Amino acid sequence: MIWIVKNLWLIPALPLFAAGIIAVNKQPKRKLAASLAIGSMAIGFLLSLCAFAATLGHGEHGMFREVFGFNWIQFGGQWMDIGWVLDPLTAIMLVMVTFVGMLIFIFSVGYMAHDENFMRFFCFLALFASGMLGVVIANNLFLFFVSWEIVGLTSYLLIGFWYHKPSAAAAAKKAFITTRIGDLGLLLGMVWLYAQTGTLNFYTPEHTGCLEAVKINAMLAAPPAAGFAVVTAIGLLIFLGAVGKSGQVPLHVWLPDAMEGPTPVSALIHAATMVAAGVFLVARVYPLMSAGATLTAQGAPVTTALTVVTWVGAITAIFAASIAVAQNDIKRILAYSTVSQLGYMMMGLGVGGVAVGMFHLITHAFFKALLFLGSGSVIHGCHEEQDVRKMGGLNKFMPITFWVYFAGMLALAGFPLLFSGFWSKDEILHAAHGWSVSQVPFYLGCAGALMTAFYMTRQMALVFSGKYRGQPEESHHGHSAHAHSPESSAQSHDPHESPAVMTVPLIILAGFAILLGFVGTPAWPWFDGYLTGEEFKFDPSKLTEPGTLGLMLASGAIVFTGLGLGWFLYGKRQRKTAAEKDVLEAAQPFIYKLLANKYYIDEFYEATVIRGNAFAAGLCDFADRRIFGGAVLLVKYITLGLAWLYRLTDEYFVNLGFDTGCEALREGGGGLSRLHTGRVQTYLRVIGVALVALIIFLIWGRKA
Amino acid sequence: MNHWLTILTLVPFLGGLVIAGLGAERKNLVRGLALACSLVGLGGALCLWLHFEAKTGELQFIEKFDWVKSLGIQYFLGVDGLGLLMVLLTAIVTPLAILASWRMDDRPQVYHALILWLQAGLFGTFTALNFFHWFLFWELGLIPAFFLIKLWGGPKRGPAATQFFIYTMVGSVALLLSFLVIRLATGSFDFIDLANMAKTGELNTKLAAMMPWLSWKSNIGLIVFFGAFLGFAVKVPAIPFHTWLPAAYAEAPSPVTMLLTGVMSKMGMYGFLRILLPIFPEQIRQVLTPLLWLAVATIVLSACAAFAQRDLKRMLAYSSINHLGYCLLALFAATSVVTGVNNSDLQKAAALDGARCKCSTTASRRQRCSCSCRSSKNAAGACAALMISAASAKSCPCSPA
Repeated sequence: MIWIVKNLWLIPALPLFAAGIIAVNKQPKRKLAASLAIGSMAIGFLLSLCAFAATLGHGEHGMFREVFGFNWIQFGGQWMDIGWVLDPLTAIMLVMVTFVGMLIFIFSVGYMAHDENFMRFFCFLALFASGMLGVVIANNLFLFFVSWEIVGLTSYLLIGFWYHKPSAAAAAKKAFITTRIGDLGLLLGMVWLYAQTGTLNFYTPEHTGCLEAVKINAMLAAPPAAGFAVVTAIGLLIFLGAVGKSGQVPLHVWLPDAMEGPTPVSALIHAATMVAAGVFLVARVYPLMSAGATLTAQGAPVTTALTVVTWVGAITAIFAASIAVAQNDIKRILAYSTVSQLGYMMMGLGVGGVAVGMFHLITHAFFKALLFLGSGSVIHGCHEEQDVRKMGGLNKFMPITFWVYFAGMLALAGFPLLFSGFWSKDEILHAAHGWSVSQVPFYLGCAGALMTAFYMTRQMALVFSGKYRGQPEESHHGHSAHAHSPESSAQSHDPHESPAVMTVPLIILAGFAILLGFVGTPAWPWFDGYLTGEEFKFDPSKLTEPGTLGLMLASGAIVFTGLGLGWFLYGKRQRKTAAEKDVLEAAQPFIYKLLANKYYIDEFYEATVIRGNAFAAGLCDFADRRIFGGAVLLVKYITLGLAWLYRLTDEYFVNLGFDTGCEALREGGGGLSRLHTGRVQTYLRVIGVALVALIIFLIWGRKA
Repeated sequence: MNHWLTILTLVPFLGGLVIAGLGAERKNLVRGLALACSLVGLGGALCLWLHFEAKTGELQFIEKFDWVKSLGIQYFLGVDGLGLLMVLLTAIVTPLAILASWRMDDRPQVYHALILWLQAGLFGTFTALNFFHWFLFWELGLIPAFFLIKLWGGPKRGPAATQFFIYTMVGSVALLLSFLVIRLATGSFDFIDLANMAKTGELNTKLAAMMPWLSWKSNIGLIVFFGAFLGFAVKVPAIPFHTWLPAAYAEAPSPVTMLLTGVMSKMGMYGFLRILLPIFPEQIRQVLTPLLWLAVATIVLSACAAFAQRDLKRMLAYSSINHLGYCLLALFAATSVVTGVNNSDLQKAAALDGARCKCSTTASRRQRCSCSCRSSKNAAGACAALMISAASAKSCPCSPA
């Protein structure tokens, strides 16, 4: 066994230790905190590269896969194992998470420089990274779940980092509870899986893991439950966890609100890593999802579970993209774009398999992190302004940010040939086109691509072109101590370029956002071959095959249409003031309002789920206080009543007779005691009277 | 013959006596002594743990003397893995509770004496193996708790303390009556003897033989079981016998709540495991389905009610009920499959919950009004573990004990 497999645990453990050390240190040690967190990620990145190098070779089944584990918890006669797995899926995620994470950490040093809770922030960040890396390396659904929950917890802590803002506190709570609903599904799926297979290990050296053929076949043979094959039901329950974490419809509502957190957090958690964990989960349990599949013409499996994944993904993709069109907060646009792109990834997993979905995950992680950090740079430069209507013309003030943002935007929009987003999205659309069940997801995906190009152009046009529309004198400064620092006081109201600590990570990310696409082109499908372990070779002729070429041309045309439409509506004719109505709003006020209010999903949940829950809670509380408590009170009053009755019987029945008897006795005694006065004179008098009476009686009585 | 367990119980008891005799003005001495006593208890418990032969799983540190020979009453102490775990839990939580009440200035000598007596009662309960003195300790734990709530509690402490006391007392009376019936039928108060009798079915025969003229004499066992069940169900508590708990937890001072939720509520679970399951296996199987529903109702209703609470301590109280519901579910689920109960599984569940409650109560003290979701995260972890333990008990053929 290679040393890296044995020591893979170091990658999540290092940030965990860093978080621990930061947590026990006192507040002002900023440098220590930042260097510990960044250093742990840097070492993690190097180790990840070693792991990645190890997986480049091929293993016994065409793909490198080694596991390491040991017993952890015993219950009953069974042991729960803990362990990790190193395969291409793990390795590629490790490299992505550590690398993007490291860049975001570095960016945060600049972004959070003026925040007084700098140490706490880095502690949470490191803890988050550790949880996320734990999710990636876990070879056991239980360890996976534990790490998954750490991720959920830190996401809660980081979204609510500025908890003095009520909106941030509410958003944190919302994120936690919404994802929790999905986690319940995951938990149930996990328990059911354990009940079925007797193990939660994904892979074992003996090939008896729950994702391996032996157990999968055993599950396929099990009798169906409630109309579902057992394996499908378990797969869907686990997918529910992914729906929560990856913000798929209908549990997507938390993700846009999560933008209340600091921007690096949005980049790290809500673009690059955590939300991708759901997609990763589906990719990880893919053998479960695709068990008992029928194959399509292109060799992609079709099962009930995967069909559900596809539909959820496709609907999410178009749904969120349409909302993004009508948003005005720079981060919210990106948030809905993230939801939409996650939908694409799910769709890719559903129609094309692991490699298709994961490719988009990796490229998206880079360009979306870039876009979020870029928006962070913009917000930072505009003194915490997030409304795109109040920006404009920023390309003059912050040229570096402008160019890298432009690269990220083109990657997201899928600008043909040059940018990574094009290749990964094209692969998904290609797979969707060949999907045998239905063509609708393909068309939904195309429509989503059009909207993506459109809303990103809109955003670019509003933020960077035209004239600056901000009115800094009126806007209040949140934590912008830097705006009042002496050297910049002269032009403090103008936006300014961010420092190098922020722009350098952006430039690196931009490089990857462009180049990364070339590892997975149809001509050279290295990524696909790497993940699936299949042979491939460089073949430029594949690019010009009729099906591939036609699709590429079509998707290119769609992107250009979107870009052109966006530029025509927003770029060519600039809005004059921040308060001016949106072009779409002027044209279609009803639709615009619907989109701007996110289809009123929040309101719908408020009226149904939340009110229902409040009602149930109120009912239970009422039952507790009135019914159960009432029963107790009833017993109390019955007892009191009985006691009262006893007292009455006592006083008026038992005691009354007794008292009367006593009274009579006492009176009798009193009467008698009057005779016993103890006075000799009285006695003598009585004796004398008696004597006289006796004599009289004797004298007169005889005669009578 | 050793006397470790007796000493363990006596230390806090005598310490309480000494402290109660000190003057109120010597606060630091009082606190120091109380802490020292509880630390001695902790040390003793750790010693027990070190000398405990984990492999055998049998009763150890046994002390057995005839006490009242004519009534079959013995002084019988001993711990197995379950008892040891509960002793350790008590020994760990008490010093923490004392530390948590370090700044308490109101009659500290009485307060700390009561806490130590409470600890003595708990130690006694967890080590006793004869019903007679087990019941004494069981009730002895109640009295200090009553005064701690009544004298140092929140604004509505009076009703809360009375309700807590009377409610628990009703359960105890039912329990006592049940055991008197058993004593009359079998002539024994010894848990181990009784469990053996139950295993051979002798207990049921004897109970039925008590009133041979009754047509339903085979069901006497069931009635006796319900009496004992009521006693433990009130203590645990299971819905609908739980209404004392939110009031008591909310009104008690936080360190006392820590003891109440961390250890005292485990007395009920311990009773289930030590007494109810071994002595009434037949009866439990008879009414298993309603019992499972009861556990589920406890989980769901209390979780829902927790949503509606505005007082953080009350919310945690409901969460405590919720988790004890999980423990009950695990216990009954395990019973449904295996004949002999796999103790290690369940004691783990109980201990886990104890630890959790301790954490959350400490948390409630520290950050009374800040994010409550943090503790629910914590709860989620525990529930995952518990649900898995329940599931494992169901799915894997556990070796019959």
